[in-house]
Amino acid sequence: MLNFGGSFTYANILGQNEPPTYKGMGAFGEAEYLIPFSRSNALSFIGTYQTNSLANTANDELIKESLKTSYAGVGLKLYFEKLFISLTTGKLNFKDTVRGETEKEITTKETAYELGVGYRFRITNMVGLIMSVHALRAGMDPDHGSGFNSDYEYLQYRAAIGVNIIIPSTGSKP
Amino acid sequence: MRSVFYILLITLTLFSCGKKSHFEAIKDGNASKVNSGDIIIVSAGSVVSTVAPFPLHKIALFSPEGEFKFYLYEGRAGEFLYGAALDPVTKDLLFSIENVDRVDKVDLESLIVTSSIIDVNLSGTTIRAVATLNDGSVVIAESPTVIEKFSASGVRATAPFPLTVPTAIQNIKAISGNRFIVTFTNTPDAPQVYNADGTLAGTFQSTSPCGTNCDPWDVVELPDGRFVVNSRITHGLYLYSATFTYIGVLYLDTTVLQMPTGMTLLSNGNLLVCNNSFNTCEEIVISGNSGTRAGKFPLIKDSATARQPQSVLVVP
Repeated sequence: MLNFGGSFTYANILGQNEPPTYKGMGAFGEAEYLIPFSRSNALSFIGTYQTNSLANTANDELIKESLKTSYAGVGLKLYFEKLFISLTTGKLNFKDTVRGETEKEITTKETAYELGVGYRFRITNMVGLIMSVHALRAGMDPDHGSGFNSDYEYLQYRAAIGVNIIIPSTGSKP
Repeated sequence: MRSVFYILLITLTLFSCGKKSHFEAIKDGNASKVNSGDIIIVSAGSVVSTVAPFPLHKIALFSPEGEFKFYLYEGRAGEFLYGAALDPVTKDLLFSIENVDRVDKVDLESLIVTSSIIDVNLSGTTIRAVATLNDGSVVIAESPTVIEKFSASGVRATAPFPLTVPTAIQNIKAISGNRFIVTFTNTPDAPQVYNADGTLAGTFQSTSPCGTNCDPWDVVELPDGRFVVNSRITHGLYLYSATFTYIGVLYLDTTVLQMPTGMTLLSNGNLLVCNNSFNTCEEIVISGNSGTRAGKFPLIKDSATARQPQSVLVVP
């Protein structure tokens, strides 16, 4: 199966007294290999890729901070009829750019985990609509990146909506 | 499923209602350069740093929140720092160095230190205070009672300069109208006001709780034209009118300030007053004719980086 769509994304960075928050939009694509193990339940192996473009909610005319993330991961998805939960792990690319009173770039690449819950609405035999929410976490280690000197924790939440396309193959009926 | 979405939506809303902030790692960018509102403190004195009261002889840069950033200048062996001033034309920081008898300057953008004024006439005992006037000219107390003046291009001014004043100079401070104020250490020590051409423009009224022996160190001109004068004898801050007439006590609390030294106005309009007894700098909020301490703690309290704070300035 292939899934692709867009998302509303929210994020914050923990580790400072007043955690900054970010909001924006994203896009995602997934490839799944489904293995049914009962009449209505199935397990799938998934590969996922997402990009997000966010802006700090504290931006003003003096300082504008934007955050771009991309995540590539692999994992598992469990279907319980049309409801599914997923867990993936992969690499998160993080790039924080500041313009204005201060000009700076903060980048890192970290291992991340993403947990998702969603629902598939069948439109046709081969096409469906998926809606899901996801939570991603990655630790930020200054040894892995540049522009920061302390450990932080990156948390990202997505509300995604997309199209699900079934590519026929043996044993791949959801 | 619907309830899960509602829970997430409410959670996200709650998150976004908190205090907004930027990623604190961004501050690292500001920590290595001079920014508007930063505070400059000259820790100086008349003895070496290994002798009590152990002046640092360094010029330190602090953030507007009172956090130490870095040193703009560290005195070399034998150099005694004393006074400093910001050039209104070039925005450089000028500071006097005793023993080598010269005025150096720091370019606040490149942080490069160069010599500004080297002149044989600065050879008097204890070069001390320095102030810059509106046109970039510099007045320097090159000895306890003599004030030299140099143009923005470094040309020494002649008559009526060098000025000889009645008693030992404590400090020189530029004020509006292209004038400068001189404070003194010995009686009668009412501050005197001079025009840029060296003529006497006025004398502060000496009527105050400390009589004629106040040992005022510094004067600050408020935006409304009034003046604040401190006293190292009575430890207070005193308010004067634009015509140098005494108004009253602005602030006096010896548990907070003792032997006040350099003063300046912060970018938020409050008064910053340093003192040698506690090696701290306090923020004073002025309302009408009264001053109150901002908060419960000094804005700057770090004797490792600011000890015997003589002069304090704010980067425009």
